[in-house]
Amino acid sequence: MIGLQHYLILSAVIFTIGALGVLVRRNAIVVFMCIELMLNAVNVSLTALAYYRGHLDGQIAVFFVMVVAAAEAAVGLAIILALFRSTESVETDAATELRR
Amino acid sequence: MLILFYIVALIMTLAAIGVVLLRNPLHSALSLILCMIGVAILFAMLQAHFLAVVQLIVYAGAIMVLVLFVLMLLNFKQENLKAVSLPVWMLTFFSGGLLLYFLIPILNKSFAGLAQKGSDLEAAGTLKEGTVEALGELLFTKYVFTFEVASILIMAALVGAVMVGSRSIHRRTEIE
Amino acid sequence: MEFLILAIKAFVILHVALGLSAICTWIERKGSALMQDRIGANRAGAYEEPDFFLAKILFAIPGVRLLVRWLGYLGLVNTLVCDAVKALFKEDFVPEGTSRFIHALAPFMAVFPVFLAFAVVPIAPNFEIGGYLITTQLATINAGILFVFAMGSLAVYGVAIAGWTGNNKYSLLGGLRAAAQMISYELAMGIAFVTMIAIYGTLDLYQMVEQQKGFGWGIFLNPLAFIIVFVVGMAETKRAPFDLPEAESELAAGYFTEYSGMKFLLFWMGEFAEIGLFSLILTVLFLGGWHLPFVNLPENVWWAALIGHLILMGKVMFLCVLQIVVRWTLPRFRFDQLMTLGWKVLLPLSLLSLLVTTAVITWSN
Repeated sequence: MIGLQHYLILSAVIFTIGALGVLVRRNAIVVFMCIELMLNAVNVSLTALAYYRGHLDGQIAVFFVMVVAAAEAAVGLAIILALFRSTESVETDAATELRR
Repeated sequence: MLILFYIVALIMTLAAIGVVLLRNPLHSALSLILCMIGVAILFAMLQAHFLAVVQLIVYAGAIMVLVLFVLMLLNFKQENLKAVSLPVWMLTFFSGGLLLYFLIPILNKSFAGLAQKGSDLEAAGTLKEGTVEALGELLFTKYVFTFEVASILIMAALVGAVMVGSRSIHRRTEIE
Repeated sequence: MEFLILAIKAFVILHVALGLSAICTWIERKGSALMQDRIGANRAGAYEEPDFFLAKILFAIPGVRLLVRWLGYLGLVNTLVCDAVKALFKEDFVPEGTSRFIHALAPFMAVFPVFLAFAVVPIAPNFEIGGYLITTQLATINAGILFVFAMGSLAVYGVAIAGWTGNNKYSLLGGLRAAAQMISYELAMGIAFVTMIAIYGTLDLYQMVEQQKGFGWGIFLNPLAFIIVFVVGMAETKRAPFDLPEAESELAAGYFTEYSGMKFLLFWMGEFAEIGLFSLILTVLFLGGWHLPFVNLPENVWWAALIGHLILMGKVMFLCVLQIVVRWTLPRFRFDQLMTLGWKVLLPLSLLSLLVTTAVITWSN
């Protein structure tokens, strides 16, 4: 019998892995992907809670998290592209100056 | 069902570790796609049918394609993971372990009363399944304002992405 | 017992998909030959004494040799047997500088979503055998048609990654162009699907077919959506006139360039299976599925299911042949013309169709 704690612990583990990824990696796109990993972990936990409480509000929240993640992906990747054009590198250590 | 959950959980955890530890960013992206497909399977197991399909369409089918496009257009070298020094690795593992050490008992105990409720509701037939009709009804009655604000948000992101990423506008502001 | 029925259904539907793919390949070869005023493949057949032991036994049966010779005249043996064997024995070439794993993964990612999408499409009406109601959809999920849309979104990966692992400019350009084309045309297809969902009031493909009894075919209710989904289907499978990504004369075969042997055949098979998939979706949504206007078949009987299946396959074959005829008739679009068509023509048209449809539905209630 799958209980709520199974889903929540899985969500916590993946969230932690994503958080560690944001801290360790220096490539801006991989950092972005770890942020998406964290968002997915939160989505899993919200849906699991929606199932176990019997409401559907958790699933609506997941829907809006996906919307915001899509918007953030578009703008974030555009920013990374603009950064690459001005500094010729996508490492987060390279963007250290305010003016080129 | 429990076996399926453990298999999917194992694949997702390995894929998540792959996102963090693989050197080539393209391999990281593929690993993240695998993790997202795992999340879609979990949604389907939680009777959230619409969300499972929307997860595949939006996350695995659109956002990751965008990431893949950017990776292929930028075409850079593999990252040197050895440049991250050993004390930093130890600190990250320690902080991760600490986070999990506190999170897991909290999650285990605080929702203990709910752990059986879902399956009881499903057995009694009163579980609100995440079908399109049920979600649509909720979305357009209780959350209609959030829905409209989300559409304005997407439009703002669309305009913003074109403004930030467009090359000609960049050149024009540079000349000024 | 339920598991056995599911396994048999999966087997049958997989073979329907593979059979559609194989027959579309054959129609393409012979049909294109007839359209170009030449004969096409008619040489392979059972002309000599075989060395292979099994073939010796088989050809000893009277009539088998004649049958194989007749099939060879039609070009079937050439297409189905010889091409497959040739592709299996070609050298498997991986360009250096790229990962072998991703090079092998790309055809799989291009083909797998296409075959998975066959799971939610009904191929015959439901029937009963021995007390078990057999639904012809493999998975009767609530969001039926959205699953097909999701698989269309996942099919972009195979193409983009194939272009990248070629490790040269032509492959990358072809792959990115193909991926951009597929994503752009998915929008118009999604909105056309939403139009049909609004008309039928359900997402389940079986219910959609059931509502088209008599003359209420989808194409009469919304012909604009039919045209949009047809054009988008041709663009998604990267068939001409949208086949700039795989154009032989422009890009040295585009994203296919570095693939040989079985991997190339997998791409090819996936493309033809996708033609079959889109014809099936078009038939189920717009052409009434297994219903003909004046024919009333009894429900839940197995021979009615068989006749329904044959009617459905007849319509699917008509659409496949139509797609192949369009491919060999029209010249190729330039890439900017392709993008203009996708964004500036098809997207506003599909929005217009959605607006008109929802207005009509609201005012008629």
